[in-house]
Amino acid sequence: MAIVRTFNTIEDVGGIEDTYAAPTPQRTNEFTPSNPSVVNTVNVAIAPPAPTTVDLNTTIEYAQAIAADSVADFGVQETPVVVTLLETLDDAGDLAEYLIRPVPAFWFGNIEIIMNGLSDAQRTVITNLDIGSQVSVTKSFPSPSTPSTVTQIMALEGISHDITPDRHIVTLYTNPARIYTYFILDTDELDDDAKALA
Amino acid sequence: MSVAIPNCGTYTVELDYGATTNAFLLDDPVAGVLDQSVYLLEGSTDFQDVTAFVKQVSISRGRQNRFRDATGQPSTAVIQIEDSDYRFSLVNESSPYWNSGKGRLGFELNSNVRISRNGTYLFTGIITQYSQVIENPNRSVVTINCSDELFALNNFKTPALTAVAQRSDERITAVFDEAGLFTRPGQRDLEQGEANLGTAPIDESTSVLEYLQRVNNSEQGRIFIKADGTFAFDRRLIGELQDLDAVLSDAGGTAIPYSSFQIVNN
Repeated sequence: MAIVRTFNTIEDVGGIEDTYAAPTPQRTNEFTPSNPSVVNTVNVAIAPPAPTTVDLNTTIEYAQAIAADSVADFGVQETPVVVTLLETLDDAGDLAEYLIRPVPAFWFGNIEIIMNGLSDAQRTVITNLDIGSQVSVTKSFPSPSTPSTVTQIMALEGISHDITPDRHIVTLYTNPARIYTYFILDTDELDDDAKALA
Repeated sequence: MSVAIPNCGTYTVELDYGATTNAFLLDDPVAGVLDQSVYLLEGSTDFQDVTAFVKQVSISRGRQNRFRDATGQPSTAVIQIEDSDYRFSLVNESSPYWNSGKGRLGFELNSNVRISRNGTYLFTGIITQYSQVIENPNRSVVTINCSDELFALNNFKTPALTAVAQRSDERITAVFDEAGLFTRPGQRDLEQGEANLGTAPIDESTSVLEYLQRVNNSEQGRIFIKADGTFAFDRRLIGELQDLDAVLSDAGGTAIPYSSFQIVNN
């Protein structure tokens, strides 16, 4: 899906706060949209210079990334102009493209594991997981569901533990990852986007 | 004494009695005297194993959804204690945890907390709230709310620094160095950032935590405290070659089984 990047300016009416990339009660200065399912227009600004007695209203420069196909499918789903500490508009454009989510995503999340039912080795693996760990989750579905097996590779964004005198339940909050695992000769298939050579 | 949970492992909940009881206090007539060896800068840790009294522990770290939830929010733990002999009571002067020097319980705001399984930490942080409920005739339940060290970063102002063009991880290093935070070896685990930050002035009126969040607004990675107390900064997710840390499946074999999951459609 093609993403178009443009550079724009707006007049800074926020004053010194924008120079610091600071949130205000009126403008939280966060990318989080009201509906995060699809984000097809992202606006990333770089901090403007501080206002002076000569120039009270400085200009905010920002990069805008637009996924036109997604706009056609879902309408404009846009973030506010968020002032960042980035150095250049090219940096802002890179971030804007990174934050584009052209289509809704689904993933295996909130995975609950009962430690009591695991082997010692498995319990050790779960204990050692931390935020940023990479896990794969496989689910088999009964016929006639297709495909019969789905595997997702994900990054751990959160983890919770509920521990009582007789049980320990771990919940893994996983999110889609952008990682590759090692390609194994004679096992993995070519053209698999999730596999890479070292 | 650590407690074994059947078919789970051995768990340990520790509260630090030392740091709040022998910390040097400027201008204090007793704890603020120079050239003595009892009261030390930051105090010395003296972790007490209280596991045998713990009824329940809940730990919540990180975030659930990176598209919706901000990173850099302190992780939390809640420890519930069945206090049958009032040793954790806020009014029991004969408690083994009573700090006679200060005339109050030794476990208090900012006391260190560690929770581990088989020696591996699940949570490391500080006490943020300590409350006791008494039901007649004599049942006492103590609830200890904890946060990790990110919470404490709210109490530090961003130091005076002249911003130079540098990567996000380098900016975090500069702020921590200037503020004297996470200065011990191994206390920081910073990935090389993707974001190039400019020379926008650093806002000294904000807390360190808020400034870190502004830095991460430019990076869109992760800021968190690891389970062992290390400060961690992850860059934004780029295509990377990485081994899997765990394989979960409902197919049996050596894969780790799960009891349930949700297909998040977001």
